[in-house]
Parts: sequence; structure tokens; C-alpha cells
Amino acid sequence: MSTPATIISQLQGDILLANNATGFTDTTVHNAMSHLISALASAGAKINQHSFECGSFTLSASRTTDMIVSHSLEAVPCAAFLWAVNIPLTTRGIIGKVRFHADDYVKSTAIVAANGGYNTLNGSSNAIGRLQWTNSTLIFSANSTYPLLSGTTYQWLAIA
Amino acid sequence: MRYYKMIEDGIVVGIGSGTGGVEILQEEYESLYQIILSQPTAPVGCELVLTTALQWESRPLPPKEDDEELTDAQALEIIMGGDGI
Repeated sequence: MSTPATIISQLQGDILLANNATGFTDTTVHNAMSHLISALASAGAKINQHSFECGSFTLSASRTTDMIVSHSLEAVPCAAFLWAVNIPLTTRGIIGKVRFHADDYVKSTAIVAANGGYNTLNGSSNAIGRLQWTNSTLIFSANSTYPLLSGTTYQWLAIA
Repeated sequence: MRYYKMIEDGIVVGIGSGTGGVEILQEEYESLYQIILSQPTAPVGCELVLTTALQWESRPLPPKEDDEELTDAQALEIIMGGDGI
């Protein structure tokens, strides 16, 4: 379990990296979010009284079929999110229904999939339909038009 | 934190944290993560897959689906700098 000192150190590290680069970025925010969620999960905390679970995956090759991951909430989630932690800035275009701008973090959409669609940056809903779930799995839609990328770490959060 | 690797048909499909897959130690997770990040460039028309022997193997890319989900209006919105909503 992460200690408060570890969490603070990780968050400070993320902010320091950002300040040494070009300021706060999506990656900064999401790395910090990942650290925080992991720490909360390991401490058995809840979000608004709801149990939650998080995890991540990094693929060795781009995936053009649905990605299924297990969860152990023992209930059908009421909400779930998937976002990219290390957005590939060298890639430009629409990938996984995510817009990666090679020259601008701020314009890059971070949330890959969410129930009902959600975009942390502007509240738009360009991710509708990319995520399904059962009481034991999360299913992230992917195909050759919208693949999940190799080498990109995707973080997910499911709330019971 | 629990770490795991995903193996399908002799291929290391990926690694992850949380539930699922074959549990591995953090050291193996970090080692595999570095291997994945250092993937060499695939030949044209091919993709690389990571075998369980931790060797990159070239395979032909699957045929592209004719599955454009964007409508004309969404495409125009993206071209104009929007999000394609």
C-alpha cells in the first residue's frame, strides 16, 4: 500500500516534470490521477460511498478487436472510464476515438471510453459506445478504424 | 499492486495491473514494459508481436475493415477543428 509520503512524492514528481517541460499537460494530470486512484484503491477507500476498482494495461501490439479485462467489484458497474496515460505525441489523428495532437497536449482528448461518453477537457461525448461491462468484466471496443495502441498505457476505473 | 501479463497463442499480448491475466512480479512487469516500449519498427504491411520467448516476430497486418464510424458531418467538424460530435 502506498504511504501518504509516497503519494505526495509521486505527485510532486509529476508536477516537477511538467514544470521542467511545457507546463501542465494531460499526461501530468493523468499520471497524478493514476497515482491517486491506485493509492485510494489500495487503502480500500470509496468514491461517494461507491466501491471502485482500477487497473491498467499496455499492449505489445495494436489491438483491432475488443479488449476485455476482468474486475472484481462483484456488481455491474454504474460507471467506468478508460484513459490513456502516455499519449503518443508523435501520433496525429483519430485513434481509438481519441484525438492526439502531435503539437498540442491541450487539444488532445484524453478519455478513450466512458459510459455515456465523457471528455474531461470539454465535457463532450465523443467516446459514446466504446465501453461495455458485466459484473465481472469491462469490454473496450476496438477495431481497425479505432484500434487500441501498442505501447500506450491505458488506465481504467470502474465504479460499482 | 497486482501485476499481470496477458498470453494468447504464444504471444505476450500485453501487461497490466489489477485483476486478470497471469500474475507476475513487479520486476517482470517493468522488464516487459521496457521491451514493449522499445519495439522496433515493423516492416511495411506487417506488425510485430512479442512472443513468449520475448522475441519480436513480424506478421502481416490484418485487412482493414471498411468501418468508418464517422458521419460526414462529424468528419467536417473534425476538419474544422472540433471534436466530431
